[in-house]
Amino acid sequence: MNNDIMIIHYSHGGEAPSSLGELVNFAAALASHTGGGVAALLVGTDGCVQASEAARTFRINTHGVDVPVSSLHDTQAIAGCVRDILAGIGVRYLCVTHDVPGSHLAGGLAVYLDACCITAVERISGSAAGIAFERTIMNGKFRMSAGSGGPRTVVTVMPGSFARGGGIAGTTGRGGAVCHQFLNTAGGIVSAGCIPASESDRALDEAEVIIAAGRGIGSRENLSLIRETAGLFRNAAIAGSRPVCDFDWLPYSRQVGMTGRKVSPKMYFACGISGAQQHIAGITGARFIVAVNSDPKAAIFSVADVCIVDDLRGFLPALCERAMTGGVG
Amino acid sequence: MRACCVTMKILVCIKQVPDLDAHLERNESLTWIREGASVGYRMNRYDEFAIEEAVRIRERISGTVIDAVSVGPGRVLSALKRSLEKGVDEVFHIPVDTAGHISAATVSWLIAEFARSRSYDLIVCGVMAEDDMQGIVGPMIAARLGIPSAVSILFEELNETGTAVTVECEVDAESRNRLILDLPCLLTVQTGINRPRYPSLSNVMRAKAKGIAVIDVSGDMTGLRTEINYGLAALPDAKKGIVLNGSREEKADALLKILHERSLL
Ligand SMILES: Cc1cc2nc3c(=O)[nH]c(=O)nc-3n(C[C@H](O)[C@H](O)[C@H](O)COP(=O)(O)OP(=O)(O)OC[C@H]3O[C@@H](n4cnc5c(N)ncnc54)[C@H](O)[C@@H]3O)c2cc1C
Ligand SMILES: Nc1ncnc2c1ncn2[C@@H]1O[C@H](COP(=O)(O)O)[C@@H](O)[C@H]1O
Repeated sequence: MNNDIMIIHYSHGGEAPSSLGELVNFAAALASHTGGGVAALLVGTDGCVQASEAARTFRINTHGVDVPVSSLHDTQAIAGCVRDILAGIGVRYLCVTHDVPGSHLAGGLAVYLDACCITAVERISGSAAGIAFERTIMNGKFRMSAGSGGPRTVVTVMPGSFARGGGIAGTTGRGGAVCHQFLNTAGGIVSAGCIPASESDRALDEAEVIIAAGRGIGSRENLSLIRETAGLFRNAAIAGSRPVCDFDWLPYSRQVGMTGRKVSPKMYFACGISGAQQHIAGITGARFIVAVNSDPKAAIFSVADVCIVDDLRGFLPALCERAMTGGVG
Repeated sequence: MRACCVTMKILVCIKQVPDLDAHLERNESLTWIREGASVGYRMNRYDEFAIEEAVRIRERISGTVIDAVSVGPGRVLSALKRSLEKGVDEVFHIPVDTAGHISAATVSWLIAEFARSRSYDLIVCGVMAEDDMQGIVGPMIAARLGIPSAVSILFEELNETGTAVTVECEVDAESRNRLILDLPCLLTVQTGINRPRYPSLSNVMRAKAKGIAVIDVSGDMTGLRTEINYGLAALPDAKKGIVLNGSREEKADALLKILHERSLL
């Protein structure tokens, strides 16, 4: 069978690698355009075991490679190893998860395989010109559509953009799994352990309402507006986007997003937050989203249930004032 | 104590990006944004952290030299000037004849060719550019040069002999990886690793007088595999939820009403 799409699933030791299902669904969507087959290569400390499981679960042919812990973050070595494994296989598309280690690997793979690289893909569509890979850029202000410019393309897939369940249509029977030897041809980098976070601040997990500040609050002093707004609710906590924590206006335990907390409150109120994908990744579990932003084009409005285009420095005091004077009830 | 003669030669890669808070429009060919007086350009914020980390290394290891390089049209000179103000020693401009999107393959190839013969101990990039949001230029430069790389670092410490660097890489909120890389190597720097300082007056004065070297990278780029840009669409296409209208007080009242209805207040 012509396996022209190869999923590269990289278990780098970070968050639970639920991304395999998403990659399979992405690959299935891609295959519906190319008409080719899908296979997967599982890279990790137990890549071969994972490959057998994936072959059973998704009924596709898989490859596995067991990477020693000391080389697990040497993406150069891993890229070299993937290149060697793929040497005899006619792969046109390689699909990798767009997280930080995944993009790292993708950049190396593109160079090693002389492939073009399209990152953070959220949608695929067919067009007269060819398959279009769509990605949002500039904090969600534009969507860029790109096509592959060569016989091989590395695509990184934005987490959360494709479903996790399901599988490849039309595949029956069971796939075979091949276990490969890891040969480190690069070197120059060793893993020296993992440092777990020592956070005990669970406020964001427990709050029913989260009032979140973005760079748009402008100054540390304006956090008082966020606090006052939180005071309107019975059980509210305050949070921030990454820049707000980088400025040290809030501790990192209050950062929401891809590299922060994933929250699921009854209401998330985003104040002066642009809505970059890395922030949105943390609020997909929120049941109701309200956003205030002075820019009507801010991407946060594409996920908010209630949109308020206004300067938060005027709107939040007005909101508190109206709530106190019982304007409505 | 560090040996007397260990010094570092560092290259910081600087990208100039449009100010994303401003109103941006697409260019004629709908492939990138329109240049114009209303669009402000500034240094990619991630790269400010990269410069600051390089400056901190120089403070620890005297004799260290910091170069900065930027690929782009003529306007990127202002970002390079800014990097001088922030403490970079020498700056290099690799001009390209487009104000539009430049692929990561092209940028990484140009920078790798530039860096190849200049024996840098350390190449530092930002973790991501704010405009095209790729996070692959750094890894691609490292792969082209065949040097080890680590991404999204939040801590860095060079060993005493100047042969290796220990870094901590952010993976997610739960954990960081500690890695040891041989030099020369490439690191991409995540925000929060330091607090970029404001330029000192003396650096601002020095930057005024300093020249910017223009680099002509020769070589054949025809074989480079780059993506084809089919164009940009403006977002958000549609707002998902309801938009509150009216005066500020009316909007506040409308929101309070919704919050009451949902028993959130
Ligand atoms: C690997 C990686 C991981 C990341 N992880 C995270 C993460 O976990 N969490 C996270 O948040 N980010 C993360 N980021 C950063 C992310 O890409 C964005 O840069 C960040 O979310 C932007 O934060 P912001 O919206 O507060 O700031 P900006 O993007 O600067 O937006 C500020 C907004 O405020 C609005 N505004 C300005 N003034 C006002 C006013 N007076 N009233 C109302 N609105 C106003 C502006 O219109 C703008 O929309 C990550 C980035 C990378 C590369
Ligand atoms: N045109 C450029 N000139 C110099 N450095 C760049 C350029 N584009 C990207 N970089 C570097 O690569 C990093 C990541 O960019 P990207 O891969 O485009 O997200 C940036 O933070 C810069 O350090």
